[in-house]
Amino acid sequence: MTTLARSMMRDRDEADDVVADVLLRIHDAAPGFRGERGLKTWVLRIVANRCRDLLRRRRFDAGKADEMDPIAHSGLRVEPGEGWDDALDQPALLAALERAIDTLPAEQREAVILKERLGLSVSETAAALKISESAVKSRLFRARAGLLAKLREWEHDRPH
Amino acid sequence: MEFDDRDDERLSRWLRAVSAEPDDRALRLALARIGAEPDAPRWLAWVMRPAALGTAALLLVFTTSISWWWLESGVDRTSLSDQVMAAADASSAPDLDSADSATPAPEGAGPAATDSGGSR
Repeated sequence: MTTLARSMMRDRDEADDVVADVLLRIHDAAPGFRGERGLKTWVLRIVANRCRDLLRRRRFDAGKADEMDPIAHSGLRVEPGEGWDDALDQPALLAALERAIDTLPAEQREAVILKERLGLSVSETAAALKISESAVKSRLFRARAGLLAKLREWEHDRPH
Repeated sequence: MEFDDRDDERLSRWLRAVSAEPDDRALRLALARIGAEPDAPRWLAWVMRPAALGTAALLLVFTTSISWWWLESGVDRTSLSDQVMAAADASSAPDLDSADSATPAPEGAGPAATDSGGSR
């Protein structure tokens, strides 16, 4: 929940407000919750919807993204997993990747964060976003293509 | 480093490498808000339950239907109003007639003098 909110909002305080809002909603809805829907996808749907609403209202803040470390500013952290290539400039690459994620349309960003970052299955992602599985796959395909294109640009422009 | 379309696996790994720092700030925020919320009266919470609202709506529809049916078919409203008017006429009409004929009109009674509002 926190990873999704912070990855979407790119502002730790705003993201934590979103999570607190969602926790309140869960608290209020808990007596009537019968478990007929998946709790995880239900919660993530609320988080995604809340983030989308706030991002729609947020004014465009030009010039901010390049100045700060998007990972630290969002309250995120790096956890290299198995098979990480030590030759890579990890902080720079991951910062570029986060900036590339920010350039994606919101619906692609949600899909890529839910599926790739949170590890949901395609069907869970579809349930969380209330869209079809084919729509999830389509969004993921476009998101990945967009991210790779941005990383290629970053690699090309980077001083060697 | 070269990026190409075979980077799907690496891209997934990079995306998975970032997650939220664990902290309980949001939880503390939520608990503070729950603590700050005024407690709604228990009867209000009970009345606001979906089951109670549904029952109230059904009762409203039922009573409205009954009232409509009763007004349309159950009562002869004309005869009732006629009876009321007749009773009123019977008790007051003779006195009014006699009072009108016995009391002379006051002198000067007639059309009210008009005041043009102009100065004299």
